[in-house]
Amino acid sequence: MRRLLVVGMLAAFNFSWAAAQNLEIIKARKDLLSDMGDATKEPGKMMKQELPFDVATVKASLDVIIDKASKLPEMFPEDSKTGGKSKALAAIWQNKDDVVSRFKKLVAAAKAAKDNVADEFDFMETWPKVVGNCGACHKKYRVEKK
Amino acid sequence: MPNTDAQPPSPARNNGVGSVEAWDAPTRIFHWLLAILVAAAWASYQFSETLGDPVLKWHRWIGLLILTLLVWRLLWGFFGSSTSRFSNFVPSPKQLISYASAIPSGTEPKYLGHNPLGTVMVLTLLTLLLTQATLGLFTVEHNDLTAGPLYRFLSEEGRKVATRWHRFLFETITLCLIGSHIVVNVFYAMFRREPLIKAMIVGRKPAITYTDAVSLGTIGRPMLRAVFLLAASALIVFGGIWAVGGKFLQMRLW
Repeated sequence: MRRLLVVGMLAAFNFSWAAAQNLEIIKARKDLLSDMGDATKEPGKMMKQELPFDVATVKASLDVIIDKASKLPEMFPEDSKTGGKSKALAAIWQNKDDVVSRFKKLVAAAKAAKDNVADEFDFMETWPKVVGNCGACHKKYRVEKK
Repeated sequence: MPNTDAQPPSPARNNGVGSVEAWDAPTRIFHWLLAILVAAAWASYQFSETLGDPVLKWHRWIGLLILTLLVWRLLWGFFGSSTSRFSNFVPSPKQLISYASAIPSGTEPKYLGHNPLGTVMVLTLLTLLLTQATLGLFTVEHNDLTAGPLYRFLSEEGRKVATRWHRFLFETITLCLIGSHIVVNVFYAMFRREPLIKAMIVGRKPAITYTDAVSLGTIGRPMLRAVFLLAASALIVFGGIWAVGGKFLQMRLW
């Protein structure tokens, strides 16, 4: 009975340790991703012609994407795989180089778009090239909502 | 001589030599075109990054073509040749049970058109694909890059639900049913000596005794009728979307 109790306590300790690992960095990572998601909302409405094109809003959104995406490659340490309702798939840590290169590609695309977006036609052409990176990454590395 | 009133000729005994017409050309073209388009719809979404198509224009075009084809098939179920008409192949529950219970012993009757279980599969697949294609009209790409032409008619939450179901239906139920459909057809070819796949390619089946008909009840100028119905289907789909105020966003392919 005593042995069972010890095993149970060890299992509970192990579980709570595993579940609590790096919650801070997971939260910070989720905030960065969420900020980027929020930044895409207004340009998304412009893409769907619900809002008139506004170059200042688009450039501000691109600034947010450049800032947040530049920080994200450092936000996936080995001990941040689970917990905090993370939707990150284990594939991220199996393909770390690909994930990092995707964030770099996103930053480069956002910088290029910021330099080139002058009118609505440029926007329609360049915005999908920026945000398309998000969707492609989600497809491979994020838990799909059911 | 083919029967030309689109009614299935009364069951009678074929002489067992040669083959008889079972499927008209429009039905066969529809079947294989639908199979190709469903595969293309999946690929155009799954490999959109490789295709350099973040706004999913190929996927949306293919979806609209699938919807048009499905509407065509519904019309063909009323105006097509005998084996394609719903009134000729939808079974009663009694027929369905009787057919299914004869399968284990290998004594199930042969059908020129869809057998009762095949009918259930066909109708289920058509309904699922129709539901999925319709849901696609209301979906929004999750980064707001693009949307189906009718997305504005749902609330933001409604669009999310439509988008999730659009994907969920395919990845779970539809894919399983497509897999079952293929496996069952291979089973009939290998273990029942019924060349169902070949019949859907060449349009003919062996001249044996069938429960439902002796041969195909054909219609006059089937291809012309099919093309006319296809134009009507396109009008229903594209014209309907346009008439209710739908928006075709960024559909230019080149």
